[in-house]
Amino acid sequence: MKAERKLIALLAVAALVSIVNASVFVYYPITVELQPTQPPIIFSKGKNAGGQDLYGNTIGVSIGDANTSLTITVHPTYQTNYYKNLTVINNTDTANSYYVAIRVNTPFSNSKIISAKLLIFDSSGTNIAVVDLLTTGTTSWLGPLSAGGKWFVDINITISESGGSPDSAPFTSDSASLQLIYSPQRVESAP
Amino acid sequence: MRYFFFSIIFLLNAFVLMISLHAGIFTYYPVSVFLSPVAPPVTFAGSGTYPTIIGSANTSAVVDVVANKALHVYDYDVGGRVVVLRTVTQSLTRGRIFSIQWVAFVTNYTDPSGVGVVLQEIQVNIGGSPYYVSIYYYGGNQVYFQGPGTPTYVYPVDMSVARVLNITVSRPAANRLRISYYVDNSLAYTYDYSIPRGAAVTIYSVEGGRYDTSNAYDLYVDDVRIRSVTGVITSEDFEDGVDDFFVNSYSSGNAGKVVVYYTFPKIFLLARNNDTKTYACKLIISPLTAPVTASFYVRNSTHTSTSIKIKNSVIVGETSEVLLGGGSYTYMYLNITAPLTTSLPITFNLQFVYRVYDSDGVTVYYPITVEFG
Repeated sequence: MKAERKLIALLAVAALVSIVNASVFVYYPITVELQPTQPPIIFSKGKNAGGQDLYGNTIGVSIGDANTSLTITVHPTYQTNYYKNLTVINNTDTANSYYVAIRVNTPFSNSKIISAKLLIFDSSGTNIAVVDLLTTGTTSWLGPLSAGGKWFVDINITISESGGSPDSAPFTSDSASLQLIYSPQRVESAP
Repeated sequence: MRYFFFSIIFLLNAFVLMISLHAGIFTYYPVSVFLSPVAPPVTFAGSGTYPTIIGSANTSAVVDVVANKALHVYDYDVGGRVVVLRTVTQSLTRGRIFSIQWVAFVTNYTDPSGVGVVLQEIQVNIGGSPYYVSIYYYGGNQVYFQGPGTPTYVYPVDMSVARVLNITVSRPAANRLRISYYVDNSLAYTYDYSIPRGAAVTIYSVEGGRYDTSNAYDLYVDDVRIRSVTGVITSEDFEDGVDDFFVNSYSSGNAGKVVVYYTFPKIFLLARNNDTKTYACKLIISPLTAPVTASFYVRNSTHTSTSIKIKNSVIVGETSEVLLGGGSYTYMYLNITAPLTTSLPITFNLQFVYRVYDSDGVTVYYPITVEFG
């Protein structure tokens, strides 16, 4: 009989606790409104995009429909291969400048690659950045890329001759995955 | 205190407002770079002139250039002169032969008055009168054979490289001299000259340079070989650092002769285009400071580039381009000189550079090391 009373008391306490903690929900209205704009920064093809690469290949520069993605395919050989003016970073915003950073998410991994750099120049030929494509990381903010301004992208690849043959390619293929990041400010780093 | 508190609140609000105005907008575009390597369209091959180590893919080279010695005959003074000369005084009787041979290369040639420079000459006295059998150079790609009793014979030959010159004078008959000129061991010109039957013929001297002033040049001479009328061979290669041959030489002004380290212009490396496309190629050199004068250039079958020029330091750092057609070769030349006091070896770091013709989309650089010494 004593045990029954204790059980009833425990059930009552449990019911009371659940009533106290579960019944309060407060709802505030929040509206997220998207007003997309055309991209102020876009890629365009450089002077040598689609030009002749080694052994009759083509320097491949592919740009997405909205000019906001870029794929470069080149055909280097042993030693140092410099690819010039492959693509252009354009600021189509004629009123505002933007800071730009380059992030290497997945670097080249083939051990035969001694050096791989992505180089950015302004329209006067001044070097803006040298990005190491063999390590992950993000550059500091570059620029700003002035309103209506253009930057030009080169790539420099050096491949070791060691163990190579004149009759074969140094290796089959490799790729690097990057991001171009831009922002109207440089107060804080890109997440 | 209250005023201070409100100031802090105001500054914090302003900071938050500034952050909210400028921060938080980061746009990310994806970029991919694909490498699809190819076999080298252009590969190196040794020239056979110098010991050469070629890399495993034939895209690098280390060339070991032996520091040969030669006689440098120089005239840097349009009012000065230099004649290198050896008196021999040998009687050329019937049936006897006399010849002189050496390697000659002339460069930096300036001759506003057209007096020429003698690359090789024999003074022959016939009946007591001097006659000269000569090979002259007046610039360009030809030499001039001059001798008694015949018009000057013009012989076209590429003078951008050294030539083995030889003059042979013989007396096949008592009343006849035969004069023969050889270039690179091939007979270039010969003729007979009639003389009085009983005339005394004396080979008096052999020489090079120029008595007349008003020109300026560098003349390099090596591997001298003289065959006397009795068939005795005398030679001089200057490798002991001393000129024991041209012992009767004379000069005036800023002109003279000196034994130096010297390489005649020679091919030191070949590059072959394995592709069907045409490439444009050239040489460039890294900065260098050394007591050396050198030039490097590139040739294809029809054209020669301008030269890299070094005089104690790099004066001109790259050549002009020459075209390298599909399946063809280009030839790399060097020409180095240094005083015998120079500390050897000297290392030249070059790069062979090529690009697809009519495009600067891709440029490829192959390293070349030239060790001189």
